[in-house]
Amino acid sequence: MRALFVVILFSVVATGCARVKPYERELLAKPTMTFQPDPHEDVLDNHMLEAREGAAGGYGSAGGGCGCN
Amino acid sequence: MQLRLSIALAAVVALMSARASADDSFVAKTQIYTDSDHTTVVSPLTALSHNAWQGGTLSASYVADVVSSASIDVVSNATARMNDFRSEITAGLVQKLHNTTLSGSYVYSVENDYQSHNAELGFAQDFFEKNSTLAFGATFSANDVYRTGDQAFHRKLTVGGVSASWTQVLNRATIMQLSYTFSYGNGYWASPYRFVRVETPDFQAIEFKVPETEPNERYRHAAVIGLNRHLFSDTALQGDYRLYLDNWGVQSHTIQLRYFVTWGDVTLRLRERFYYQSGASFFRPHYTASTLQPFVTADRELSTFWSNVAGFKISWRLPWVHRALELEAKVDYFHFGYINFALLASRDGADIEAGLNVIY
Repeated sequence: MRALFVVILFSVVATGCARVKPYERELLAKPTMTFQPDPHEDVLDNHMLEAREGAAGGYGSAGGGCGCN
Repeated sequence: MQLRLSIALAAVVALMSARASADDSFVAKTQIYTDSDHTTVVSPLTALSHNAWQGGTLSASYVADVVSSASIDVVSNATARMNDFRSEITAGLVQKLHNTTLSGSYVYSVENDYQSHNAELGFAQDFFEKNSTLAFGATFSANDVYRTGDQAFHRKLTVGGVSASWTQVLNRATIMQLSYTFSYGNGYWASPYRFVRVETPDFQAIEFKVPETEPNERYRHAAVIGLNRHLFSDTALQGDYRLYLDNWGVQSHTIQLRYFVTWGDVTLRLRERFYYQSGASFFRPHYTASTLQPFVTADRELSTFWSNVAGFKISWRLPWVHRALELEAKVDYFHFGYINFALLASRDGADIEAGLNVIY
């Protein structure tokens, strides 16, 4: 509950600082500004990395399988 | 099994190709992984996306892993080389409803000694004129682990997870994302092929070997903060940091930077990723008979190590071919430095990828 309150408070503060209108989003609309510009590449990358590191999660799907080689 | 997969994929492709509409896409790429630990993995991927109805997008993809390895993991268990083939098929649906996006997907992965079913559900809601997006997700994975040459061996691993993310436009050129994922897994995490060497007290000889045993339960937490910033001209910088913790004692830090430069239809991406993890609490570089404990592992992914990935990717968009054709090539060089893994000090290698993306 406290975490939810912090998230909501953060969102209100953040949006209060600068609300960008749709017609002001020319730069934000560029493909290079998305967090996952190539999700298929991310699947291959995450699968490779999660098979070779102890950590997992936070960056989207890594597919299935054990990747144990 | 491979035949059934191929038939299922062909049916999905035929269904989705029946009537192309705006922004349907086809992706084909192949990634080649090769490292100094004598492992090569070739991963072809093909994917289709089809706008099936108002706001609804269907997608399907197929990935294979063709593995050939004589890594230290393989040869230390008296096998000269192993070859494996993994198939993975994914089907997904995204439905946009004004400021709400619903998504669902199913992934089936199969290889000769491992089979997994994965389901994902997602919900995203835009707020404040789409300046903010709150998203939630849930995943479930059911895995069956087998051992080649041992018909009696069968273990299960079940993993469930939830995630939440907050994406916020900070100004006309900056966007930020906070995300958190939690997963809980219960079952068989070890490798059925890996045996742990129990050495003499002076570590000069192996007394005997025992099967790897790891805890059944694993709680994993990952929190990521990312920032995308458009810079001068047509350049952008993306940076993110991930903190990962689990109940096995693994703690890791990941820092990643990606820099994009666009000249007309060509985009160059430079990438740098640094990773460090502390080892699991039960990992030891050497085990002896007097210090054996309930959980023992020879898994280098549970040791203390760091890694670095650096590389580039070039994408070339040809808008006069179909509605748009994009060609891409990528090279990432990586180095792993193992701090307390006795059998290997380091591993170097590369990820090389080439592909195309057609929008029709």
